[in-house]
Amino acid sequence: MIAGSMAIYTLLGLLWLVWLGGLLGDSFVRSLAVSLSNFVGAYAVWQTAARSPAIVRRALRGLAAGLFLLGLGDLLLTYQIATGLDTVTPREGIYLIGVALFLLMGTLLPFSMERQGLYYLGFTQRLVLVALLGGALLSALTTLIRPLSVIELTYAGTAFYLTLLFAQQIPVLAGGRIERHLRGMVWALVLGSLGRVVSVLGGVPPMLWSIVIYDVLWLSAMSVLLLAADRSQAPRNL
Amino acid sequence: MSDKRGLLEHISPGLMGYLLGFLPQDDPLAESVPGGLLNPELVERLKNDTFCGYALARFAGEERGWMVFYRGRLLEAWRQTTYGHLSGTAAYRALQREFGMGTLSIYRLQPDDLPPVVALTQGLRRMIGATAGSLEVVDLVDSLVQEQFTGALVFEDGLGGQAWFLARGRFLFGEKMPSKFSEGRLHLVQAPSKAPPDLLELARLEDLEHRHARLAVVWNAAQEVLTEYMGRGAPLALERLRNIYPSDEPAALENALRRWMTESLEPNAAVLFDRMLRPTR
Repeated sequence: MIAGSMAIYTLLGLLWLVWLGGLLGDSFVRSLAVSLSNFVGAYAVWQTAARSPAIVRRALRGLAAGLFLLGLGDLLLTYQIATGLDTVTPREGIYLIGVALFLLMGTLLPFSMERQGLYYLGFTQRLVLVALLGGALLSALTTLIRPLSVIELTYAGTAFYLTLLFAQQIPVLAGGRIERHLRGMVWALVLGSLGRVVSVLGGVPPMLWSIVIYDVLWLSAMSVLLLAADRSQAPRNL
Repeated sequence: MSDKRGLLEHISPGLMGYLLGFLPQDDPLAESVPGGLLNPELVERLKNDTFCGYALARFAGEERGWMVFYRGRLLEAWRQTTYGHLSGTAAYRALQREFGMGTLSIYRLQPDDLPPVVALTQGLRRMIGATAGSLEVVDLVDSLVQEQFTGALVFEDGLGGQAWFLARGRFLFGEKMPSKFSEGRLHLVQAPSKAPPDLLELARLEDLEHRHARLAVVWNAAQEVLTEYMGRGAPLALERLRNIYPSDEPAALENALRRWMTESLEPNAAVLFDRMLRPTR
């Protein structure tokens, strides 16, 4: 169990309950729960990074910082819901910085793996190319379903790209300690990508089914990160 | 092999050292110098000078070390120890380590003198422990001269003794045999028909083999660590690492890999690596 993990589990459980409560009528409460879950996720990733091999530590910390920023953006959204004040501009800025961090640190991981000699030469290039192509293709498909704004497209593209980038590395790392530290992140990315798809399919007006599913997916992603952080502990045989 | 190891198993190391002290010392290259002064370039220099002769090292407690060179090749190395002796590459390595603790004398010999000398430790045994008193020395010498014997005749009398060397039936070093022994034992060893292998070359090959074995162990340990961290990707990562660290020096490779593991993975990886390298069981 990670340090203070009981408290953090309780917090996450409470967030689920609060979210459920909000679901029945209060979109502020619901939004607050989702926003705060980001910080739980960021904490979990940060904890995972602290215990993971040096080579993935920097990337994981970057992703944790990105998640923290997304949480801040969500808080601004919650604030807007609560007060009616427009927070779109600062929110978009924070989201974009968070997404940029995600992109940068996520891409950094395979590059540093290759530079340190853990991947064969050219592997990262292939990974990135496939992820870029796949991400572009999936983004194009979602645009076909419903035309997206540039910003929405950026979010979706980033989610798809990172999911593909990380998922491709899992088979190569399967069975090793590094994979154990990345597994949670991959599942969280998959859930996050699904969330993007759902939000695209459903449109955005509040309290539609797509919002509910999106929230469930996002809260699940954060829960997976927390569970994985606990599992990522190295076995005590050393 | 053992039937060609001369008198090593038949006379005491003490007597052997004693006999070596009486080898001709007419043409010294260096006498009683501190052994440390000439090491480690000494052997290389003798080799390059196609030196013929022997080096005698004296250590504390009357222990002796001995190296025989024939045209720059090291034919024999012998090292007396407290309870026995070493020979071959083992003795060569021991001497190399210990030169600094003794004094060293180097004497030249003629190339033809060397086969009988080498017979002491590598010769074919012709006669072992014959009762000297019952032998007709004149007859023995006649037959040796007749067959143009090359080798050594060793007389053992308690802790002392004497050795005579013959090359093609001719006594070397101006030594004459007495006409009669009253007691003691006689040993006769014939010079090996083929020049023994060069110990320097043997030692080099041994080193090489040892290094390759050690490198294999190091890479094996690295593979274990990679499997632990990289899972299925371990073989490819190992291939990459082999290219990044092409060192063929086991100790240097070990350090480089240990540093790499600590920096790229985590200190625990280096611990695992060390455990693989030095299993306690």
